[in-house]
Amino acid sequence: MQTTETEITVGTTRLVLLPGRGVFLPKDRILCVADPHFGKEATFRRHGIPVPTGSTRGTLSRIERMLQATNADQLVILGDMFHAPSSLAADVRDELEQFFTHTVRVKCTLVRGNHDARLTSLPEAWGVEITDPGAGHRRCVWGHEPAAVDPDVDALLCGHLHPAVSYAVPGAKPERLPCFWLSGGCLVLPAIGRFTGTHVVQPTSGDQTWAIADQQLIPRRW
Amino acid sequence: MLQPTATKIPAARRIDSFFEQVGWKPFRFQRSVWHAYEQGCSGLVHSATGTGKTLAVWLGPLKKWLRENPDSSKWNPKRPPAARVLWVTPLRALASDTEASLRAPLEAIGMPWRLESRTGDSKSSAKARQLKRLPTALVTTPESLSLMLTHEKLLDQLANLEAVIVDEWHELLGTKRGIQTELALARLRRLNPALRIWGVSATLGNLQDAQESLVGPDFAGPVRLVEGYRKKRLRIESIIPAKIERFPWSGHIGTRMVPQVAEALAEVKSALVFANTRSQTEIWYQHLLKQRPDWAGRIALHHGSLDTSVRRWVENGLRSGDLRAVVCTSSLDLGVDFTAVDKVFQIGSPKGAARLLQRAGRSGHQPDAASQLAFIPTNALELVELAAAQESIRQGRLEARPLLSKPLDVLAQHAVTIALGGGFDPQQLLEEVRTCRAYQSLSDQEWQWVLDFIVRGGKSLNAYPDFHRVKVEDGRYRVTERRTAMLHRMNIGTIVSDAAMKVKYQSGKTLGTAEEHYLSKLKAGDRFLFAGRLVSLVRVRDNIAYVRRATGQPDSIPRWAGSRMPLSTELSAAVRSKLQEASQGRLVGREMKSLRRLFELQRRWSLIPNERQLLIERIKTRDGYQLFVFPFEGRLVHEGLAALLAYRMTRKLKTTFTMACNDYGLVLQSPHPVDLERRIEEGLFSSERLVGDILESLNATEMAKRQFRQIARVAGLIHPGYPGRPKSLSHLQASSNLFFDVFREYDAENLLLEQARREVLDTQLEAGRMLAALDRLEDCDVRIVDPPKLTPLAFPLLVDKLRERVSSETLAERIQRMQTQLETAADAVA
Repeated sequence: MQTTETEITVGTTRLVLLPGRGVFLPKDRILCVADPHFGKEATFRRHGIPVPTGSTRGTLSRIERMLQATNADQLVILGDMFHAPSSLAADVRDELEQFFTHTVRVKCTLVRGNHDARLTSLPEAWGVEITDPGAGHRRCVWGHEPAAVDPDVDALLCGHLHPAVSYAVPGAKPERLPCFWLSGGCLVLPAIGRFTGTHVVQPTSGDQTWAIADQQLIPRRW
Repeated sequence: MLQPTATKIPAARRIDSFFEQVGWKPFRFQRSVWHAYEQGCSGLVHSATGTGKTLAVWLGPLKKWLRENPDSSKWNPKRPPAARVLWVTPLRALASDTEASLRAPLEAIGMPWRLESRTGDSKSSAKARQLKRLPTALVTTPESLSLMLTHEKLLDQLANLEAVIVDEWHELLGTKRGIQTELALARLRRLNPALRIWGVSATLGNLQDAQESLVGPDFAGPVRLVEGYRKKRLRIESIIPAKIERFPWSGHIGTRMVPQVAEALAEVKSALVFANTRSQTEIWYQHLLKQRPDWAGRIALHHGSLDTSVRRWVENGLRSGDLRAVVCTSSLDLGVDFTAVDKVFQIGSPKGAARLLQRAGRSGHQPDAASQLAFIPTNALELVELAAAQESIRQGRLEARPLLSKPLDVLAQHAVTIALGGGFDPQQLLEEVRTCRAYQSLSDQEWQWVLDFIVRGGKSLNAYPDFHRVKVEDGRYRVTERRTAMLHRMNIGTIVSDAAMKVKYQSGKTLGTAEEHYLSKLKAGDRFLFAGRLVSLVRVRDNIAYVRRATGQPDSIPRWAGSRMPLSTELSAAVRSKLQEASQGRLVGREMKSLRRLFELQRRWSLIPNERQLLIERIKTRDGYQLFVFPFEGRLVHEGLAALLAYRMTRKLKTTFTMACNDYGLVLQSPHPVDLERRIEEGLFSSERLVGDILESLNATEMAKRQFRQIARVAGLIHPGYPGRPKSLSHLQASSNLFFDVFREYDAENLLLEQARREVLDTQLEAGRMLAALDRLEDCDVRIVDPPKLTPLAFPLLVDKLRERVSSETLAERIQRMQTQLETAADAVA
């Protein structure tokens, strides 16, 4: 059974999982994405490791497509917006400048992640509000690192892990796919950044994952 | 002994008295090498076994110095002569042994030379001292030699070297470390055009290539090729199991032979037991101990992942003859002679005649002793390989070592090395680099790309803003940033080592290193065999895996990535000719005769192909439709062929092929039946459009991506974790896969991608060998058989686990089918 997008209900909160690696909250018209690591390639270049430009633009395109498709009013970045202090290079800044100019009507919120720990402020023109983990909307909380979910809320949306699951049948080379991972009320989003790796997670019994293969979501209950 | 009163003694007399002291006589070839050295020649000394090659090349420089400094009253050990000789050894583990054997004549003659080592294991205080003043003779590795070239202040001393001697050149030849060495030698030749370069090598099928790679194809000076002592007797026997049908056809490990091997070991004083992989050594060591608990402490384990102190202990035990047996990998193929060893055991096929000869030569080092080797097959068919190898040795058909052609990753690394060690003028360095055999045909465009890569990141002007590793100042290329210098120096040593993690007891004792990739898959509490003990993982912290002793059974055995050797071209042909004999009912020799029942079964259910037939067996199993194809061309050719055949068939049929290969053939498994006869008619085996089809099938199999791993590391893109690596670099971690994807998407012209494709073609798939194989197969009579059951030839393939895939289904379709299969399997169990 495959779909291009999947609606799930956690507690009473309705969430739409998108194969573009974001989660849409239809009631509040909020799009959440995790771990863009903008400018990671610039940081590498600064250290003498040649990585071409383009992946920041690629990541932004992914977000733009989802904003367009969902017509969301707010974008929440669940941490690790930037890879390192040196990631805010001129070319990365330009790309982001353009992005925020085009999406001016969308409110933008960054939940601080471990890579943004020392981030104090962003250019005012971008209009990005920075909050610490724990903020949220109604019964849905935003975070960066997965954590135990407060009994008062339905769901914790977070990232940090860059989750992936591995599919294999005996005798075949396993296939590693980025995924959404729901464990308890904690929904871990796949990393949206084009220049980010994945980490194979070990779900426990009762967990659910939705693996992303091309533009499809493949559900699995553990 | 030398007479203390006479201080002026001719050099030759001193050398002779050294030989008298140790009770040998110089061989003729040794004298001729000394003479050639004296005359300023360079050259290559080769012989099949290691008798006297070291002294042949080492005593040349000593003798020359003795002739120039005949008066020993003027020798002052406190003022040793300046750097004269650089001795390059392929393995740093060998450095201390090499140093010891080089020291013997120095001490016997009482020469005031200072001899030291400089490797990754050396203390940093010693390295710092050496930077100020190099010893008279220095033992080093290719990596440390490259590292020395990054220090500008060493160049003057290096320019005054009289000779560089490269030991075990056959081990480096045809590898990226060999290319690294070639480039460093080109540098040293430029610093001193009169430099003598000598190499020591095992006998190969292409000695001329080996010599040219060593001294450069256009070397101005006189060059000699000297054959060493060769009158060595050789005795090879197989330990054949009593009942061959109970033989594990693909048990991989063949540990059922442990009792026989233990018995054979009991009959010798000291033995080396070679296994082909590190995990096999761990398993065999455990089994031998279980078989003979009384041998605890008298047998040992030796492989490249063990801690240096452990390896030293083992090597000393071998030298003194205290150890009855050492189970080892190719880690003991090289270097030091263990005179106590009187027999060599080889577990599993050595995959090449030259390697078999080399290993046998590790035993019987007394002048008139014979080399003895016992072969233990790990599956029945390996007996065919041994029979074939013996035939090849008898006929003197030894393998050629294929060379690499201009790998740009190594060149980029070298260019940064030179930029760091004083900088370079691009035209001058290009000329220097082109004196290397490997870069003879380097084009101006390729060179320009390398320069762009290190200066701008790539060819494109705008793709790499703010990047620089190397800066151009007044036309000179230099490294100016400290962090670039640091990263580069750390990177030089990583050509061979995969990302490795230290394995330690909690108390702090180091056991060795294992691949990060393997250790990261373990959970705390998992038990595994390591360094001959059963341990369990406690935790991983700061790139160190902490373990404790465990009891019970292992949950897994570390797998080290070391590539499995494919059957050589020469041996493949010899195997086919052995099968040809078998197809005619002629079984020659003990090995072939012992396989009579296996061959009969193969004939009854299918057929034994002769040299003009290509056998294809078709059979349906629970997992799907299996096609077994048996070209007998070696695993690498089969891997390429499997991808090619699968690709050609998936163009006509929507399906997914899973593949496995061994040295005899390949299997293609699909969930759908294949109309084979029609596909063959349509040109399944045609050599037309071969390279195009291979390249297209490559994208599907992602082989290039795998090959890119090493390239990314050599070119300084990824900096793998290893012990001692500063944690501050963790934000520069990215996998080579990620680099591959990003390059393909945003800088598709990147020549490193092109190199990955070429390396897959040349070295992984051996495209040349594949073309030749397809040419042969086109003329073959294709015989399709539907056997009632898995045949002896087919069975090992089915259980082989290394599998690749070619598919025309989408990823999602494939995953869905896997899922259905998993569910069905689960239902069946419930």
